[in-house]
This record gives sequence, C-alpha cells and structure tokens, in this order.
Amino acid sequence: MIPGVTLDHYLLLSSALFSIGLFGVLTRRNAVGVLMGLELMLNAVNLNLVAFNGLLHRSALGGQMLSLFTITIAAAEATVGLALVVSLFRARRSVRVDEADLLKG
Amino acid sequence: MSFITILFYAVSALMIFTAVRTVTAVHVFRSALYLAATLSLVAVQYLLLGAEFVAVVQLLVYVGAVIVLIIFAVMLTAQLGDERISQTNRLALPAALGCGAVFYLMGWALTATDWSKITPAPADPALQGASGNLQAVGLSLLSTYVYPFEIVGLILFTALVGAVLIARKDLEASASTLRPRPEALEGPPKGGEVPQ
Repeated sequence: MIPGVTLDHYLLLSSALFSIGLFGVLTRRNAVGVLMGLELMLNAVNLNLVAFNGLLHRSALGGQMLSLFTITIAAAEATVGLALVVSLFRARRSVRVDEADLLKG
Repeated sequence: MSFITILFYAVSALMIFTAVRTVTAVHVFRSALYLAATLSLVAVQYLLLGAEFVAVVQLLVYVGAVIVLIIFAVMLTAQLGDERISQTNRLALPAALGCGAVFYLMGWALTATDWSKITPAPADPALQGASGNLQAVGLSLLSTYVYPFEIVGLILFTALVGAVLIARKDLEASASTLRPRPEALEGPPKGGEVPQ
C-alpha cells in the first residue's frame, strides 16, 4: 500500500498510457511503430489488472495471473508481427502500412 | 508525502514522458529505446504494487526479448532508420483529439465508479503458507492455474513455429533439396520438373 495513492491514480495512469499507445497506432506509418504502440496499450491493460489485484483484492492472485498470461500472449503476438514485418519488407522493400495493399482488388 | 508516494509520482511522470516520446520520436531506433524505458518503468510500478513475480517477468520478457526483437526488425528493414522519410501520417491532429476524447471518457467513467462495491474475489489457496509474492505466484501457477499455464506454453510454441515459417527467406527454398535450383537449369525452368 502506498500512502496517498488510490486505485483511481493507477487507473488514470493506465488509461493515459492506453491513449498514448492508441495515438501511436493511429499515427505511425511503419509497421514496427504500430507494433510499439500496440505494446504500450497491452502494458496499460496489464498495469490495470495488477493495480486491481494489488489495491482491491490483496488476498487473490487472479489479476497477476491474467497479466502474466497477457505478457506471454503479447510476446507471441510481437514475434509473429515482427516476422510479418520482415516478410513484408522482403516482398515490397517497404514496411509502410499504407503501402501494404497486396490484397486490394 | 512519504518517499514511496514521491517515487510513485516520479515514476508515473517519467513513464508518461517516455511513452509520449515512444510514439513521437522521429528515429524508430530511438523510439524503441524509449519503449524499453517505458516498459522498465511499468516494471517499477508492479514492484510498487507488490507484484514482484510480474515485475520480473515484465523485465525478462518485454525488456529482454520483445525489445531485442523490435530492434532486430528495425535493423533488418533498412528503410526504418532513414530520418528523411516521415514516420507519421497526416492524421496526427485528429488522432490526438480522438485519443484525448478516449482518455477523457475513460477517466470520467472510472472516477465515477465506486470500486469498493465489487464483491471480493475468493482468496487464493496458494497465498496461505507461502512466504511472499514470488512463492505464492509460483505455487499458484502450478496448482490452480496449471491448465492455462500449459496451454499458454503451447500457444507460444505454435507462434514461434509460425514466425519462423513466415520470416523464412523463401518458401521455395525448402523444396530445393529435392529439386535443383532454377539457375542451375539450362533455359527457363519448366514448372518445377526434375530434369534427368
């Protein structure tokens, strides 16, 4: 317990982090930048879960467990995403998300 | 204000700063380094919340592995390091307004909610008899949450195999052990036939 810091502080902090990540996803032009914004958003959610666990239900472990699983799935997602970026770069010599229109009819 | 409260505010302010620099930095490599700083500061927040296990996993997986992968991708795709190419699209102002609106809405919703009315979660049996967070989470992972733990390992394995398959140089290369390379053939290759 931190004196003077409530659950609302952590929730506001994580929603700020989420909004910043969303801004990155919307404005970045290259795929790696979009992935970095996505990682920020995932971390905001994890911070939320751990804050609920640590400040609301101290006798349970569900929040920490869920954030551990989220971290693992996020690592898998980053691996596949970056493999796709490398593959896209080989195919088009570009990682711009607005130029990746191979499937456009 | 006690020392730990000041630490919380300092880490939070630094975290917001590095997160903003992550999404606004011109150079992608610098952006990745700012992301590493942000993820480390999130780990500090986990420590402040008493979740030591998650903090260690955060440092190992994110700062140790994901950042290395991102820097790998930045280095492999040469165009990313070029500062002359604009890294952002023209949506910066509408996106900033939209994200500000999202933040305002979420902030309003979560400060208006009375969280103390939530029925408390059942106590985890691993917390009894465990000395500290590390032992409790470790015990719980292999008792209460053993099936999700195994399934997540399977998902990670599948994702790694898929990533290797996607990022391989060319899918034809795997078949080249069975048939000769096209440049070894005389004239244009005819539909992958094996010449005698």
